[in-house]
Amino acid sequence: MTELLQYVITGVTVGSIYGLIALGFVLVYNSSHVINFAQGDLQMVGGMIAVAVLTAGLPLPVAVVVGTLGGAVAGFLLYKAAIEPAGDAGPLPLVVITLGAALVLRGVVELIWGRGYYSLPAFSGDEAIQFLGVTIVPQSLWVLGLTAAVVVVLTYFFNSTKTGKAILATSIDPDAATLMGINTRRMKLLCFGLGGFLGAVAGVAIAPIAFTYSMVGLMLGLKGFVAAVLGGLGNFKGAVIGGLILGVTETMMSGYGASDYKDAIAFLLILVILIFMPRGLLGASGVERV
Amino acid sequence: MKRQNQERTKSIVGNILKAAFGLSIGVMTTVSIAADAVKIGVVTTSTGPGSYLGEAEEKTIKLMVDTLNKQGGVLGRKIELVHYDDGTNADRARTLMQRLVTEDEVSLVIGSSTTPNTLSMADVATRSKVPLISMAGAKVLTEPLRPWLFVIPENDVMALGVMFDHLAKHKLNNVALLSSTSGFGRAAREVALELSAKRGDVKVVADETYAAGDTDMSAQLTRIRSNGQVQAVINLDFGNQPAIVTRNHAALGIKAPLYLSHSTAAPKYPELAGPASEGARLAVPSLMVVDQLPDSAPEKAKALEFRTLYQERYKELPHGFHGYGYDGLLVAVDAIKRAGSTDGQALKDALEKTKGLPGVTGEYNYSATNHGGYVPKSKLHMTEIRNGKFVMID
Amino acid sequence: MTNMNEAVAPAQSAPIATPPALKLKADSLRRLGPVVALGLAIALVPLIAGSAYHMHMAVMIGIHAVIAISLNLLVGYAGQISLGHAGFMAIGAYGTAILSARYGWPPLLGLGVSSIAAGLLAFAVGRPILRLKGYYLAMATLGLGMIIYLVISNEVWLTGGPDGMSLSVLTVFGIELDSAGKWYWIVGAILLLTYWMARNLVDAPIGRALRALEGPDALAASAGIDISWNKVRIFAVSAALTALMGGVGALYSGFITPKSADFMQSIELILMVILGGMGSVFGAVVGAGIVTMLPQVLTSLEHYESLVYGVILILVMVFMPKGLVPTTAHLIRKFRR
Repeated sequence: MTELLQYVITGVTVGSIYGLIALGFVLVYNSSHVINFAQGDLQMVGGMIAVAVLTAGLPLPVAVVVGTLGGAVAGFLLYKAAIEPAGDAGPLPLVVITLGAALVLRGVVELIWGRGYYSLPAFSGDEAIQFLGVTIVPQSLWVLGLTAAVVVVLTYFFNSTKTGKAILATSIDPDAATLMGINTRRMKLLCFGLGGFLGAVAGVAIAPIAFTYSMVGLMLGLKGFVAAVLGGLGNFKGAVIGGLILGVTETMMSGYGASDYKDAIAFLLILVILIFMPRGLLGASGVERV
Repeated sequence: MKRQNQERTKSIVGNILKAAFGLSIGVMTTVSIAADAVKIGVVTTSTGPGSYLGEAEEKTIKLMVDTLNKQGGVLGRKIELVHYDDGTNADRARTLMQRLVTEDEVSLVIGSSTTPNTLSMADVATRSKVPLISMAGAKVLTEPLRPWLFVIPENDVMALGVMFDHLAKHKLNNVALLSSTSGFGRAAREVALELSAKRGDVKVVADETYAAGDTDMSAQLTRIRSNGQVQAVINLDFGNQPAIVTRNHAALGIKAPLYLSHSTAAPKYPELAGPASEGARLAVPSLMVVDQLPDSAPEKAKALEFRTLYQERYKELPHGFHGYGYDGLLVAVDAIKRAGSTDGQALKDALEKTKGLPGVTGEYNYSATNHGGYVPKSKLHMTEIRNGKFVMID
Repeated sequence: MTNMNEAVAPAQSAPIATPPALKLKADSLRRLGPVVALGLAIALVPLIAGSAYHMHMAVMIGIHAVIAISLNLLVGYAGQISLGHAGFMAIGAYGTAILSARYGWPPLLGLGVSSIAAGLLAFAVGRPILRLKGYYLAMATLGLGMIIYLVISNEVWLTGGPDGMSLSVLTVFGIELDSAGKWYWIVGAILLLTYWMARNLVDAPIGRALRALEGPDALAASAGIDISWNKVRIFAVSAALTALMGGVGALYSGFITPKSADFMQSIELILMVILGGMGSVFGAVVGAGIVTMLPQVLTSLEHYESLVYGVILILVMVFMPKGLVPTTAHLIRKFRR
């Protein structure tokens, strides 16, 4: 029983990180129907900037804030420098552009900081908390808390603010949105920036647990994409739920002795879910968007 | 500097033009070099998951070639280095090997950093009769013997032997394995299981794995913790994940001591893992503990010299994999000197006659039947992390 | 749902005024012309190639070009994104290796059987998977590819695991195929044949049906096209061809690792199609050439490699979103007018 609980806690932590990255995917997808393959690397950029700021002698909270803002700036730059100039190139060319952007981000980071591993201190110490025989690292709580906060804020943002609604309108029908006086370009820019910000939040939150290095975005980005699709692309709650399902499944597999095939089983699960629910768990049904 | 940049731009444009017109993709990276330079090819895994190994080797070899050239090179000729990065991709390693032997026409190749990439290149070495000196250390590289492949690091069987000796000596007879499913982790796990079966004094009572890229191994360690028999935990991997394992191990309050693979031996490890690494044990190459070695150790002088040189140029301390790069070049240059030529067959013969050559990780001896640089006793030293430092222990 | 309606059809229909007989002749000429040109190019390369390394690159490009053409049929014409084609490549490679090295089959039989097996697998999973749209389909194929990759990495007893496995040199009719020079002609012949077949397929009724598939399904269905049957069929053919080339690549190189089955390899394959030009058969060949050669050209840049690679991808897509070949063709047409 303790074991099961431990697996759930570990899985939820890992899953929250996947969920945070998945949220970044969803934001960008909602605004431009593009899968941003640089999402994982935006996460990496956030972690690396935070480490650099800390190494420069500034306190940890400052490093965390600067790191997350750095991710947002990288997201803005990605849109301004590569997505906007491409205009209405269509989704696949835009996906290739994000793939190129991922390589550029990785290349720049390697030129500045090399390919080594870097760590960030845990936000509130390393002393593990024992609870009902279950071990929880304080940083896990930070990860969970940040994910929850992000979901709450995003939900509020999209349901109750004008800008949030404008973004939703842009995603549903860009032409109509433009007619309504919404600056759709600005909305897309905002989403790329927000996506970068969310990625960076994940990046700084996980750096104390799993470290950061130039290639860290590759695997985490892939897992985030899986989580986003699993939840139903375009759905925020779905992204987080997708991430949690993925994280808990993986951990359970490892815990009950099938770590060799844990990723394979996760992918199999996704195949089965997609076959029975072709639009993911919480994907919008009905009219197909062409 | 500007001049060099111009050269570089020119060579890039030249390359693209050449590629467009005749598939000709020669490279002229460096400024023109005397026509009779000795050409040595180097392939390292400097990007991708194996970059931890390859980057160290690349930096070391570049540094040492510069140093050697300042001292007059070899055979009175300068050494010209043709270096490529295989990106942890075996197919690419093979293509680069092909390129080195047919396009760059090098006399000898050092590479690559990982076992699959070396295996992929070995076949090209045999077909084109160019000696290949590998910096990877799995047993499969030398058993069966591949005629044109020589291996620098001692193989994983010997390295794990040092750990197992230590376990047996301290009566930690029941161990748990926690290995990565990467190539290295898998090979090491096989060796550990074989070794355990053969020796009988160290029994594997738990056998867990995790995948490359995993960010938390608490689940596997929880299972190990609940196994009452386990007296020691052995982690087989390299890179950042052993540091994650170390932290999870400490957080879960596991009493059984943590042993790590010799491939984790780098100053970065205790730095990444933090206080959690206190008490972790691992066998390390001489280069890591050169200060603690007795003056009688044959490798001490050379290792100290190299460490100073390396620190001057790169402002960081070298670790075990730097040593493999150093010794790879050392063995190569020694063979070129003795062969007196750069002919492939002559170099192979000279390599096979390498005797008592002291490097920074130990002494090298090859023969026609032994391409693994056989040493009767392992060159590794058992250490424990104390106050963030590698301290030699009994 | 992705919008690929802009993909350029390679052949414009002939002017209506042309008499039927002439039109037919012009048609077949237009169809044969590029094939002959490609044949000439293939024949010329060995004359220009300076070393065995160039021939090696040429063989690799040829192998990738066939895969890119087969993938382009799926992506460019049927509008179905596959991020799992590296998995099919690996089935061909490992199938050939395992059947010949472990079970003593003749390598060519192993190659044939594993290609058919890949086709059958694609056929079996095709029906449920291909109902998915856009990124969901991309995800499902990615999952399929990853599962294949993980099985290959994990079943060490069968595949040698991450350390890879070796194949012995293939001997056909007493000739040892041990050099890039010899393999070049085999791969060249397969490429030419595939190219010819693909061009014909694109113009044949099934090609028109395929192109209809990229539009809204309802439209194609109302035109009497059996959507899922056509999609599944093209998916299976594409998978079998990809596996065949995977096997040829394995026999050629003599050493394979699971790396060739991983996600990045699938991305590279799709990159060939998009860079060259979706829906352009010739574009697939050009794309394969570029993606195969780029890392080799850029390797002299050392630490700037990934940066420059990324910038190139971005620039090509910003300035030529339809891909190199369709955009260039468009420019030439514009220039002529």
